Amino acid sequence: MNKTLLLCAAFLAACAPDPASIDSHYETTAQPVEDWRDEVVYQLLVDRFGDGDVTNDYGVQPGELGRFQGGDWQGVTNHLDYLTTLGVTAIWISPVVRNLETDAGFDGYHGYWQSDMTRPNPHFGDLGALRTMVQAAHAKGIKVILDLVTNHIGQLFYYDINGNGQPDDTVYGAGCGVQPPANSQACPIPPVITHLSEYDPDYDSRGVQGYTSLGFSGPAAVRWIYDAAIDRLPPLPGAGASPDQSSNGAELFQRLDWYHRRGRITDYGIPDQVVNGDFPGGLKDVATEREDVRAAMTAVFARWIRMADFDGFRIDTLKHVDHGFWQHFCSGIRQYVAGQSIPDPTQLGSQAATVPALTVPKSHFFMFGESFDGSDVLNGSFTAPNEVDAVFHFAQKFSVFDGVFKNNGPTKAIEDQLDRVTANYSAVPQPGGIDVAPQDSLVNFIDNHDVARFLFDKPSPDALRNALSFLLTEQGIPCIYYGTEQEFDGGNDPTNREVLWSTGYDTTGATFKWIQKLIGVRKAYAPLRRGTMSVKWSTTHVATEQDAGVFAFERSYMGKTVLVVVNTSDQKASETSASNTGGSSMLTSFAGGTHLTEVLSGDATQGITTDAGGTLIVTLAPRAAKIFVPDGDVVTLAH
Amino acid sequence: MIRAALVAAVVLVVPTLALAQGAPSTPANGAPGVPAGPPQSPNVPIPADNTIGMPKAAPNSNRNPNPDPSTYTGNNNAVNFGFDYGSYGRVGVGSDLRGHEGYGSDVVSHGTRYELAPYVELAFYYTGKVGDDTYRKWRVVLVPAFAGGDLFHYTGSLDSHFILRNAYAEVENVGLKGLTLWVGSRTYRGDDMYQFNYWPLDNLNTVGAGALFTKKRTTAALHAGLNRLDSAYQYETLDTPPRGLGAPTSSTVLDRPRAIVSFKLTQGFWREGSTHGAKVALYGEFHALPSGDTTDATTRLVTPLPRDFGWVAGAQLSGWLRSNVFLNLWFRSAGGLAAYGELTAPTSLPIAHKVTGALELVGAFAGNWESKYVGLMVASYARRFVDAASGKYNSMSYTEGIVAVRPTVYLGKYFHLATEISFQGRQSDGLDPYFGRVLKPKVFRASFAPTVSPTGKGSFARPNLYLVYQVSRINQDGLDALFNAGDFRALHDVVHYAGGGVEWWFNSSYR
Repeated sequence: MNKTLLLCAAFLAACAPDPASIDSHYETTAQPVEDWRDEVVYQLLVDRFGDGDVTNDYGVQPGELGRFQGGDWQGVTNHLDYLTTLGVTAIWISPVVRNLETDAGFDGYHGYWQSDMTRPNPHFGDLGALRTMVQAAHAKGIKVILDLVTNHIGQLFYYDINGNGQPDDTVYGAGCGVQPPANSQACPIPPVITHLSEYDPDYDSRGVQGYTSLGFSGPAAVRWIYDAAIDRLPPLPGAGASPDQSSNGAELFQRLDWYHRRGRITDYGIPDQVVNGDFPGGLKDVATEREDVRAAMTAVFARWIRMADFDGFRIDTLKHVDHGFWQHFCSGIRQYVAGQSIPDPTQLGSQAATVPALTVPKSHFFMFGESFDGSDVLNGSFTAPNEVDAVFHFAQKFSVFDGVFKNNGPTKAIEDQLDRVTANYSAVPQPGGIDVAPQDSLVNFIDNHDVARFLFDKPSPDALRNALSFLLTEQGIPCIYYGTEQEFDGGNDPTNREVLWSTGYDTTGATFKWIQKLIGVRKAYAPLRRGTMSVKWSTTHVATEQDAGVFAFERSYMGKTVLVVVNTSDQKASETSASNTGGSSMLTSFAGGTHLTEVLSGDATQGITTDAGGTLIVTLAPRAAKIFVPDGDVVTLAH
Repeated sequence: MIRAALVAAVVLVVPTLALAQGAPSTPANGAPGVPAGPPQSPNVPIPADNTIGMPKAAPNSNRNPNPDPSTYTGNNNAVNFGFDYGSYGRVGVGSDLRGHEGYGSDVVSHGTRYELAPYVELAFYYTGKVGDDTYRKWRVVLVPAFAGGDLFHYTGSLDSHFILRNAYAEVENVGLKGLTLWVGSRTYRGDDMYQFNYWPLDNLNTVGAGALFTKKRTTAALHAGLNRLDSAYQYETLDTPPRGLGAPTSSTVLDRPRAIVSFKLTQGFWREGSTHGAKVALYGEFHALPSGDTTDATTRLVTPLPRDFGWVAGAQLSGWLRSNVFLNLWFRSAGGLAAYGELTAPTSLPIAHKVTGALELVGAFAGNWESKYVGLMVASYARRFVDAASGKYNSMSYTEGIVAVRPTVYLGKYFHLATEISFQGRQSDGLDPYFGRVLKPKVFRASFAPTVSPTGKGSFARPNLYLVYQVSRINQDGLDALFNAGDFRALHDVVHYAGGGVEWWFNSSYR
């Protein structure tokens, strides 16, 4: 405004906040994370954690978990004290970018259906609300990790298989292309079929093929959909999308040749499909092998670090993207957080454009990804040099938390899984990364938004707390899915995405208190965070044997050692001994005669002394856990 | 609701606004919901009036903002008995000189007025005596109006945007000399800023009743009324199964009208026969909304809506040297419900579903000076609106202002050349959700309007038949704020408006 008008308005404007603090400068901070293993991550779905601003409750259908529920960034800001009370130190928030609003009767409340990667999702607030949330979290020492997707966009185009210029939900055409369908039935000769959606047809390595009543008709036309009411439009950043399938004149993510256009994955055993196929649900696969795509994607998400001061990335669908992309993306992001600007091809018309450097560089910016697979070989491959710092420990979720803690499998499976970690995940920290080797910083979890909650499969809070005891004491970085502390028991998506506000943010429940205590112990004893892990007892016994269900391990760091013992058995008390069957007792690294204090209960009577040879017999009730520390190393826990 | 209805009582109308037949002052309406001005893109974060997300209010300004009672040709006592008629009208058309319709480019809630959409109202009166005493009388006032750009000869559409601005009856000097009582549906307000089509202090639309008492140069006005907007914030019905066979029936589950009480005390200072004088007005409103429950139509989840309130406190100071030479100063503060205006349900609610934190502050002045050869109008306001929703960086909160100067040269008794220079700007507290930055839209504007006024010289001589050329320079933030991507208007930072129009008023029903 000019000076004249400012004079008139001065008295009115005096109470207005200074928008410069959220505008243009995008000041960042160097959140000091010395070692990410010290952190406890809390995963939350923004739409489900807290509703702090009813003005953005557009389209909310309370109780219908496939629809928006109204949570937002202000809601997270409002309940940060709940998180600090619990003790977590980092939050992983669901994606922040604009999404396709709704598709096939479900809403994009989760954030994985991106339509505009440059702008915040208005359901969750605006950039000011997002920055306010991050600033408030930082003020409480909580780091904020952004969830992002590079593999695909939302269902924004369709394959015009029958050439009628409209997206048909049912097309009578070839459904299996050159690959057999998922049910392994061979394609009929000639291929015929049935019930095929032009939104989400089956994979065809040639590209989705057109089909008419007379047979195949060549590559199917691919057409963007224009439906502004639900944000189903050609994606951004981009320009010049044409309704036909030509890429001429289109830019960036509106170029159709930036997508593989081969249809949905039908067989996860075929790598070509896994990497190049659309993600089921019609999520269109981005051609991440292209150098221009890699540069654009890196710039897009580097901008979000600057805009909202994030401290890490949780990256979706790692295994559906080629390794070359991850090497480009992760290296570019590490270069950016170190304080350098990087090229920004999304600024159309300016070949020299860059993503401006951070005002304050960040060290130990954490990038970890989701490879939803039980194969450690596959998951570990993404920790190759210059790729992600860590991955989710999916194999452990299946073999340990499901196999042992839910289903009472032998605890030898835990030891086996730890061996596979050593064998398959990189032992060398990523250059410019978090300075911790991937095999030491796997992100451990019991459940998350893509799987049924622990209590759904195993309706036993004791078993859940037992699993949490292991999660929060084993090597790696623990990640707790929101609602675990409230004993949510939802099944598969979307029932595992409950609203947290229904609990009143209660902090008095048994599981809440248990997590709080475990985190307190973890914070107090560095070996539980950073220590090397050595198994002291595992067993193949599962029934009534003396040691059935027992698992014990030591963690050692800087000359100090902590012993953890858990009993995963539902039925019986067990002990770290197999003397009844001619075996020995547990041999620890402690010298004979060392008295250990049990720090989890705080009960002095539960202390125990090693035998002359350093052996120890620890007896635990069903689903119990104990943490022993030499008397001299015991610290007083903060309350 | 009952309590709210009981509140509705009486209204006193400010006497200095009393108009009579033939008076050149014909006040305007300001009904939100009446489209005015050019269409704006739905994402434009520039609210109209003092509301968010509403069409631009105050479609016309047809009253004389001159506070000097001597400029009026009479008072209520001078009206004709029997049937009488009045009207306000504004019809114009223009081009942007690029092959499109002329369009508006205001970035503040109340910008300049040459490109306002057409608006026509017809005022019908019937006045009778009470007994044989001509001093005591009764009157029925009906004012139908047609608003928006959908005039038949322009759109080819037979549909019109019909509204009823006034429908009330009043009695004067019955029971007590100087007392006027009225009941009905009424647009009810004071002095305006003609250049911006804006009533900065008081501008109410309710169905209710009121009383006015005048004694010498002191007047007191009290009014109480209700409105119940078609908004889920105030009214909601749900489908329910039929009692027997057939289509679903509906049940009313929320019905909470807003009760509004206003009070205005005006003290005039002038000598009989003198051309100069002054007046001071103090003004207040109280708004009350009872509690209720809103029910989600799909899930039937019930959300309590607590009682809510609002208030206005303001003042006006006016002085005049002679007819049509005056200066008005206003200050208005409004809180809670009242900050959004009486015809707007808050679209932005904090988690408690109350708007206690909303605030509006307005400072404004408008004046006019005329000589034999030249006239000069000047007006400016600064306004701060604070939305009730939480968040420091709320893009719904903003500060805005405008200043405009309109010199007119009288080339003869009937031919005038008006020019107007204005500057307006606005700044939101938060980031634009699309651009991710704070937008600071600004518009500099100059207008040239050769005018024919058959009633002679004067800024408020009507009717006016005019040609106009107006050029506006909009900064990039202004273009970003006003127009969506793909809108051809987003490409032009220089906006032309060339056209013509007519404006008339006589014998208004407003006071």
